[in-house]
Amino acid sequence: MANKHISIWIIDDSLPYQRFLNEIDDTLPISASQIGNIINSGDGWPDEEQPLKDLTNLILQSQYFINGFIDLKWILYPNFGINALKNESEIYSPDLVIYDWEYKNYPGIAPEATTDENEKFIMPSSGKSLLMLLNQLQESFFFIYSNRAATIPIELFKDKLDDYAKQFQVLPKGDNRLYLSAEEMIYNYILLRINNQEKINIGGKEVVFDNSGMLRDYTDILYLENILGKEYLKKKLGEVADPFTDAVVSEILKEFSFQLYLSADKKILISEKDPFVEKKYGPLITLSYKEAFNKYGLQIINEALNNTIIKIH
Amino acid sequence: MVNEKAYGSLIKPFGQYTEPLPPSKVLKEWHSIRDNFINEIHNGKNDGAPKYPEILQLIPDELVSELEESGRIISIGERKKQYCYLWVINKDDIIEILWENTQNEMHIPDKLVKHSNITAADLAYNGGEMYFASNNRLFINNASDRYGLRRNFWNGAFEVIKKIYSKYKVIDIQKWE
Repeated sequence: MANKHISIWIIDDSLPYQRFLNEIDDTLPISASQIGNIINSGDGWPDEEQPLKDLTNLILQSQYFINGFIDLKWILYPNFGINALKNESEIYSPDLVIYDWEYKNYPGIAPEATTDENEKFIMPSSGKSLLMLLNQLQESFFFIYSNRAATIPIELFKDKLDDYAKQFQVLPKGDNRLYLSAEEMIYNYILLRINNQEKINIGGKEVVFDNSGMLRDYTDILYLENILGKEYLKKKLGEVADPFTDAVVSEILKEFSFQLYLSADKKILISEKDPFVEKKYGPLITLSYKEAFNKYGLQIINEALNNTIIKIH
Repeated sequence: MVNEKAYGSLIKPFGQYTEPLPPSKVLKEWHSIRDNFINEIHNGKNDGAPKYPEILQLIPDELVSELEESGRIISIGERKKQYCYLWVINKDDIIEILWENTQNEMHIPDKLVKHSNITAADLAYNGGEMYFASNNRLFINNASDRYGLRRNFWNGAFEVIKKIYSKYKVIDIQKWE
């Protein structure tokens, strides 16, 4: 499969570019070579921004970047991004925006809050800019990537943000609550945009995704984690040999003790049986997780666990 | 039991289960956050229909027979969230309601809200789903694996909802056997 090109914007004010002030117009998108120079200068990044520095480095050192499949730009403040989109001499159209939530000083906009024209809601400046960018870049995907993701005041503008729900995902910087770190998710997203059939490295384990199989992309790892639990998945990943594939997932699920149920007509998948369900859809056919995985895949199992009873096609 | 009322006993999410639960039912941090939904969670007292979303989502008439027959909607898959409201009787005896289609930006990759997003994963008496329909009909079930599915408290919970939503024709669709 031919590789596809991806254009990425990182919008974040933590780039330590001060030493390069004479060479860089900090109101414009900063090029990848300039980003590389800044990283290589060894100038300090705040501790909490280390995950972003590592992610940027990972992108710049990847074969895909070296071979021209990734175009990376850094923008220091969201309003500079909005201005760049108005630029008539250069057309920008990022496929992915890695959007920081917190800004220490926000040029041209009050630092803490701004009120919309109807005074219906108040939101941080970055929230208002985010909505403008989401609206202008409707073909782009956004990772809202923040040190304080759990406290982003989403409730302040939720009704507006929900219009773009399919266009973004909130990720805490350096987050390790899930088996995949936030940075691994972003990097995997980039690789999968370039080439759907991809090997990636998750927690030191080589994982092989196959678009025609049941382990299709990194979200399947997240479904698997939800099904098995982080600790069980971690333990099992430590036990199996490289690479981690469909067949290995099938083997892991073979040992999993819980069960699912299939209706007599095999059109309904059930995660919990009760007398009504047995009477209405039975006699139920007991299904191991391995069998369910091989037939329907991880997303369907996850959906059955979330909804108790689902229709399958 | 302490704190037992006709409409429930105070339990933590999944507290009604005695057997080992699958890992998918371990309470997740992103299902314990209430703060992100403060403006969307509705206090059900005084006969009020939820205010979020702004237009009350009525279940189409063609799906009503499925609700009456099965107590839930499965024929349209995940799209049923469009019409489903989650209800909880919280530890302060207040019914709180959250539209199931509310986006949970913190949940990767599903973006689901759960009954525990209403309670911040605190204790609650009971929970389930509600579906508003035309002609002021309100269908209620006990489908909450965090707080509901307790037959001995169902009649009490149903009576509470019927009393609060006195302007509606409240219809019990919970199926036990």
